[in-house]
Amino acid sequence: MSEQIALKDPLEAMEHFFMMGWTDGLPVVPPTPEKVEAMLNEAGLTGSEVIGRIAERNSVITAEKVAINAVMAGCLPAYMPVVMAAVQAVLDPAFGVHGPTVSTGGAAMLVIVNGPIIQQIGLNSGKNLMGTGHRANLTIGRAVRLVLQIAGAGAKFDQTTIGHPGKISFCIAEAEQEDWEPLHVQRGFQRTDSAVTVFASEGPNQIYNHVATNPEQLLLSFADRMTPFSTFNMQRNTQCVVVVCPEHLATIQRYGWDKTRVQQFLFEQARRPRADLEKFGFPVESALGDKDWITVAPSPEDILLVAGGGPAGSFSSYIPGWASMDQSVAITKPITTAAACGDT
Amino acid sequence: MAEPFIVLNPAQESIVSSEKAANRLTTLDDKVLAVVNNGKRNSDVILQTLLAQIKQRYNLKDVIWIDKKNPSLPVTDVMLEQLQSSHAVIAGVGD
Repeated sequence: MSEQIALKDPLEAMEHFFMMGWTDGLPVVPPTPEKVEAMLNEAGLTGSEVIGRIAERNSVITAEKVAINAVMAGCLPAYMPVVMAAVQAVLDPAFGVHGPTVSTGGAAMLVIVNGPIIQQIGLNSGKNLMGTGHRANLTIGRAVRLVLQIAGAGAKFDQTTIGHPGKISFCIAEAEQEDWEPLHVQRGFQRTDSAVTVFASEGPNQIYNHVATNPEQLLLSFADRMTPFSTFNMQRNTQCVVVVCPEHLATIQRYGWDKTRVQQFLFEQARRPRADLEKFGFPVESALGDKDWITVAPSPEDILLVAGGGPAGSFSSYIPGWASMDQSVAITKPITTAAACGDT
Repeated sequence: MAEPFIVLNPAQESIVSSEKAANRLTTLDDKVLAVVNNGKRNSDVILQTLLAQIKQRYNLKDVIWIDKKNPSLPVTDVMLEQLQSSHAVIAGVGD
């Protein structure tokens, strides 16, 4: 059981948390024992259950610490299964969470949610997808960051040079539809499953194209946006995320292109001559071999393609990755609720 | 008197560990020095330069050189085993 701290009232608690550095710089909801208990009940977990470890910091993350930080982030208990799955995902050894949370590269933890849970808890997959106004998205993303920063002692180690606002909160839901394979299905789950995918990401880059009338034109503009020299993706083996907005998706689907074909096209076109990188003095990781062309990701599948965004406007988004796949890869975990566990 | 408002500590209160800092060395003469190159670009250059200077100053018994393949992940168990026979370790960084 975590230490209990006696204070005068909620306002004093908020100030106390600022003083202790237990915040991301914004006010937090005071984590009372009752609120924390409600979080744990929703996830069907006991507080002492170990969710994962960060070996480099000798840190052990328990369910109670996740629940406390979720309360602080402003989550409702119904969000807790998503928070828990996301924390399990970032603590998976293949995600290598120490690196992206301390690196000068300043990665955010992008959380992508799929499945029925999106509707059940009111996650936003539409208008203002990466922006403001949606409690579930903003507080779930914030909770994951607070867990790593406070319970995982990340604040002590973070050496980020610039970073980006996604380090406060970065959580989106995919706008799933029948004729477009959702991300979690591509990664081995059923449509009826709920799952969360985490990805160590740089800041999102908007892709503006109001004029393309066919997939080739449109996706060539995507490829152009995806291939600046000064990203990890063009110097190492690194994954990336592309969020396709509804207007762009309509152009793609009008010509019968499916997700696999889009990924293949982007893989073939999002590349630059190796000689160009070397001309500008950019080093190319030896793991890329002696290929004449440097691609944005090592394979089509490493371009994680997601549908989302508002119905009006032709703005998609490219989200570069952090470091290389030897250091961090996207991880997908199932979302399990207490009801699914058989708990009450 | 009003009831206190109770909240829970969100951080790890303490890490109970049986580990303690190693005894400080007064000299590197006749000692085994381990060097861990973390794999960052130029980390090896810095460490080789440093090692050359140390060798000029001290009569090292031996040097254990370890190359991490991945700067973002912990050292492996095999590497930790190698380090056990050393008296001092220099862990290098670079970028």
